[in-house]
This record gives sequence, C-alpha cells and structure tokens, in this order.
Amino acid sequence: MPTKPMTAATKQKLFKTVVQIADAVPYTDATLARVAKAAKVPVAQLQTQFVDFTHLLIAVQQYILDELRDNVIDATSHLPPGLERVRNATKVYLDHSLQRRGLRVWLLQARREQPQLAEGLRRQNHSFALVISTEFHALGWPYPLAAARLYLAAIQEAARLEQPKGEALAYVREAIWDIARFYTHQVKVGVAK
Amino acid sequence: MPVKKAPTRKTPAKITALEPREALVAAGLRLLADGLPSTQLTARVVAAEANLKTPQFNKTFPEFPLYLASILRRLSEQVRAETLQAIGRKAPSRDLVRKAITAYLDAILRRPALPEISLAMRAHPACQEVTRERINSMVMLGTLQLKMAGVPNYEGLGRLGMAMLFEIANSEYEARRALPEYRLTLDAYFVGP
Repeated sequence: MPTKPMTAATKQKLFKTVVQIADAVPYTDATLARVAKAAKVPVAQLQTQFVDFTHLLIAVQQYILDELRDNVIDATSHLPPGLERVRNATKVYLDHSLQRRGLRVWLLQARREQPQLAEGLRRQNHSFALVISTEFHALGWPYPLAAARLYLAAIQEAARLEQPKGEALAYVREAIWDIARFYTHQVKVGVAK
Repeated sequence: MPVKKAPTRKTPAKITALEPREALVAAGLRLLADGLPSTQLTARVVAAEANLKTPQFNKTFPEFPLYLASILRRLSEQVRAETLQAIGRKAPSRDLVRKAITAYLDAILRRPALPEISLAMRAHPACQEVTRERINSMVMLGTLQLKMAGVPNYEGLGRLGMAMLFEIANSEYEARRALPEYRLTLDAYFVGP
C-alpha cells in the first residue's frame, strides 16, 4: 500500500530527530533505518519521501540552513548596516554551528562523498555571500562581493576551528571581530597595523 | 677484524621499484605543464610519455587515485617552494606578506591541475591526506610570518587569513584567471592600502 506524503510538521519533527541522532551516532553508522526507528516512522515512508539517506541529508541540510537564515534575520533586522549587525549575524552563525555540531560533522563527511550535498551548500553560500555583500556595499567597501566571500570563508573556518571543542574560542572570535571591524570601516588598517 | 660494508641507501630491488615510479610522476607533471587537463591523465597516456608499458604503470600504481595523490603532492611541493622563494630570508614586512600572497596565488593559477584533482578526488583518503598536509603546511607558514611580524593573535588571524587566501585560490580557479579585486581585498586587510 502506498504511504502518505509527510506533512510539513512531520518533516520538521523528523529533521529534529536527525539532528539529535547526529549528536550521538557517528556518520558511518547512520542509516535510513536508524533514523526511521528513532523517529518512529516506517522505513518505507522515509523511502517514499526521500528515496535514500543521501536525499534525507540534503533535506536536513536545507532545513538547518533555513533555520540559520531565520536566526540571522531575527538577530539583525532591527539594526542598521554596520559593525554591530555584522557581528550579530556572525555570532548567530558561529553559535548555530556549535548547536548543530553533530550534524555539521555528518555533513562535512557526507559532502566529500556526495557532490549533491556539496552543491546545495555551495548555492547557499552564494546566497549568504550576496547578503553580506549588500552590507559591505552599504558601508562603502569598494569590492563588496569579494569582501563578502572572504569574510564568509573566515566565518566558516572559525566554525570549523570551534567544532572539536564544542565551544566558542576566544582567539578565534577575536580574529573574526578584527576582520569584521576592518571590512565595516571601523578601522583603517587590519592585521598589519 | 672483519670490515663492515658501508650500508647502501637502497637495495637494488628497491631502486628498480622506485625508478618507474619517479619516471611516471615526472611524465604526468610534464603532461600537465604542457596543458593536458588532469581528467585526461590515464595510465596509458602517462606510461607512453614515460616510455614505459601500461602494465608497468599498473604494477607501480595499482590504483589510479594513488598516482593522482603523488601528482597532487608534487604540485603542492612546487607551490610551497615558489611561495617560500618569494619570502626568502627577508625580514617580515607588509610588502613581504603581499609578495607571499601573490606568489601563492600565482603558483596555484599556473597549476590548475592542483585544485582540479583536489576537488575531483576529495573522497579518496590518499588525496584527502595530501590536501590536509598542503593546508596545514600553508597555515603554519602564514601563522609563522604573522608571529615574526609581531602580530597579536597571530594564531587566529593566521588561520582565518589562510581560509580567505584559499577562498581566493578557489575563486580564481573557477574563473581561470587572477581576480585583482579579491587580491586587493585581502592585501588591504593584511598589508594596508
């Protein structure tokens, strides 16, 4: 008998379950069956909805990227362009990465093997870079998209560095604020001052 | 008293095993330097360039990704050597940082096979290891330069700065040309206007 398509609420519940499993189970042990058991849904239903584990991960990746975007909007929409807004957005990004630590590890490993996952992240990064570039453009940086892509690369590296300890690292945050101050014109010279 | 023989560095058997390996790697590097896309490197093409038979290639490199990892390692060494040459034994300065950034990016641009193979083979453990070593070695170099230049928080800035540098290298690889606006954006931060 064909299974019913999942409702948005059921999907969200499922994605949250995947996030929880990722905190406890290594990627190599992750399977569709394991997720189905933890989420108390039939494997057949997951197969109908997502086909396989990779496609489930693609959907979960999009779910946490959307969650991150919403968190950034919540934390910045009331602020004018400038250092404080960039700092708030950066802090939300880094804290979100720490909260979703297990899943990030899964995704990092999965992206090496599944180009579709890497492509999803690449597209999302492009959107993030465009958003950041409008910020740098408003602040008068001469090459806003270039600055945005470099700044995003720095944030991602910061998130990667904080990953193993699972906590904010002072030297990393200090470095990212230094870069943010420079590209938002708060200081005239960066590291080599 | 019996006279001990001076130890030989390699047994004859090892020398014969090493020679084709070296010849095959050198042949691949020559082909790439002459403009052959890395996707067109095959056991047959490389063996012919090295004046060897294809079975000799297959015996030396039972898996083609292992050959690509050797090529990757050699290209990485070349990039590092060119970057170090730009730094030389000069005293750390703003201008030296700019020179090192330019030398690194130019060296990568001249070797599109490096990012190409790195990306295509990212799921293979041998290639992952070479890429990891390349990144670590460049991060160490960058961090050391900042430390010698007396930059506070050289560790954090070195790591995030290198992530920005790698982002430029990736962007330039995608564009297949130097991107001055990206280089200027990074130079401005590390070196000043």
